[in-house]
Amino acid sequence: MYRNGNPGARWRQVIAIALGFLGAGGAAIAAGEDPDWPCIQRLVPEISAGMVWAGPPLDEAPDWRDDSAISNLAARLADRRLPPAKTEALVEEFAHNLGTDNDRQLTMLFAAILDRINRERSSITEGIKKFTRRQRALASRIESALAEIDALPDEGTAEQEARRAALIEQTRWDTRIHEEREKSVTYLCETPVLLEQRVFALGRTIQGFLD
Amino acid sequence: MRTIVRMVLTTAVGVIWSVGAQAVTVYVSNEKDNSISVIDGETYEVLRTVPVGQRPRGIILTKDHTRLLICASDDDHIEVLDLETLEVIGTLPSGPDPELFVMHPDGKLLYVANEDDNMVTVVDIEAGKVVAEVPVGVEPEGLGLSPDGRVLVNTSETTNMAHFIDTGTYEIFDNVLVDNRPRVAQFTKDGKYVWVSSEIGGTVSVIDTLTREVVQKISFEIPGVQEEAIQPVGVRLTSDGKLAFVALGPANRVAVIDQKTYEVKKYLLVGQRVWQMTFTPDEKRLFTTNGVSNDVSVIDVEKLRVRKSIAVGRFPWGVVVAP
Repeated sequence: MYRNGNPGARWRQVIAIALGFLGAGGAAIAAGEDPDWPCIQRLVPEISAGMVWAGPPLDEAPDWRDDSAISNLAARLADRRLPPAKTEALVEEFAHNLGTDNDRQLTMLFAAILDRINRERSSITEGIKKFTRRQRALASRIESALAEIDALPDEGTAEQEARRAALIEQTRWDTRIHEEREKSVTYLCETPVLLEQRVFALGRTIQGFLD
Repeated sequence: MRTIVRMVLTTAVGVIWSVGAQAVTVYVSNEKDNSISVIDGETYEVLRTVPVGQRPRGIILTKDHTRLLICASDDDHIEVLDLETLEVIGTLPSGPDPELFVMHPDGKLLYVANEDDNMVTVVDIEAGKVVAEVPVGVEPEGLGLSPDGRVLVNTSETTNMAHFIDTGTYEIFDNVLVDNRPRVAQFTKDGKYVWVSSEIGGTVSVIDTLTREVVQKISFEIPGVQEEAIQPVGVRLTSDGKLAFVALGPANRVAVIDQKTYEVKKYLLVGQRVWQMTFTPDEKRLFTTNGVSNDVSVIDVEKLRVRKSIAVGRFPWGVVVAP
């Protein structure tokens, strides 16, 4: 299909498109400290308690892992599929049934939620970094394919022509996949923020029931 | 039962507190929603959400309180919102990408920071015209005006300087080096000092306006919050010279500082990524915009407590209070 027309012009077009993507990846890397972090939001490795909680110190509360009721409730509350109105009702119900150590139990509950959300968040940030590395690997494959295309003679043997056609086809796909994936970066980067919002809102609700 | 009793009590206290509060209206710009939230200052109910131009950030009231001026950053102009009808009735020139502005005490001139072209644009509100363009440092950011309107302080994000501009001649007459990425400049009521926050540096520099020396550098330490999350932006000073409030961005806290001793008294947990703040005219309450939790917090200035969170649009940025 590339026999007709000017093959040189076509290579250049493919190269220009592919290089455009490689360049875009490079800009993001320059802005952040972690070369694998593609987001405009600064990478904060962990949500620390002080950013979301003004109640009693979390590390002084008894270990929530020993309390299955609290662990289970924390799991339900941390789950993003549960809408905010429902979380408020659940917290209220929990607080309503507490005895004298109200604050202690509520603090344990929030410690459990923070732990759970932090773990989920760190698996997401790791996933985002893995995504960047895969994109980079794909970009370098495009780069080497382009270099190989460039090195092939204009009027080569049948074998060379077949190789060229295969490389062009591969690069077309790789470029398209790279482009499609790149579109999801904004969405990916907003996911840790959604978790930060959730843990903050839960903290606020729970603090509303402290004595 | 106990919970219900407590809820009733909390509500009752809340009502008593707000009844005693000054009747005001609060306006908040929502950067991502292209809208202004209009909030009843007594009930904290969002009365209206008004669509405006693209990426509204800095907002300011005209001197007669009848209009709200809005930096529509992505539209490269200032919009004029009539507060009676809540309709945009016109625009003012602003230079490209206006982020925020301050008004001369006489209510006639606006000084606009244009991040894109390294200028401060001076706009005559009545005439709707640009009267001067002052070249300043790279990426001008914050603007602070002395109470007498004679000195304009502009912070530059890239050069890390506070530029002192004579508003009579539009000449820069001094530059003061502060910490990384200076954001907001705020004069004390007596005009003797200007407080400049540094977002990346994590500090606030207090500059003597006569000698232009940094007389104090305030830093922050919050137990359980990593240092990188402490990013000072908004600064508000009570006019009795007693308290200062500094919004600490993603630390989600507002620091309360003694204006005389520079000692940090308290860190109030408000909402996520707190940037801008404003007092009610009686300075009994302080409203903060929280850009990630998409809400406005109400601080009781006397008791130093966070009283309320009001849900608004996405990325709330600027906030003003109209009597």
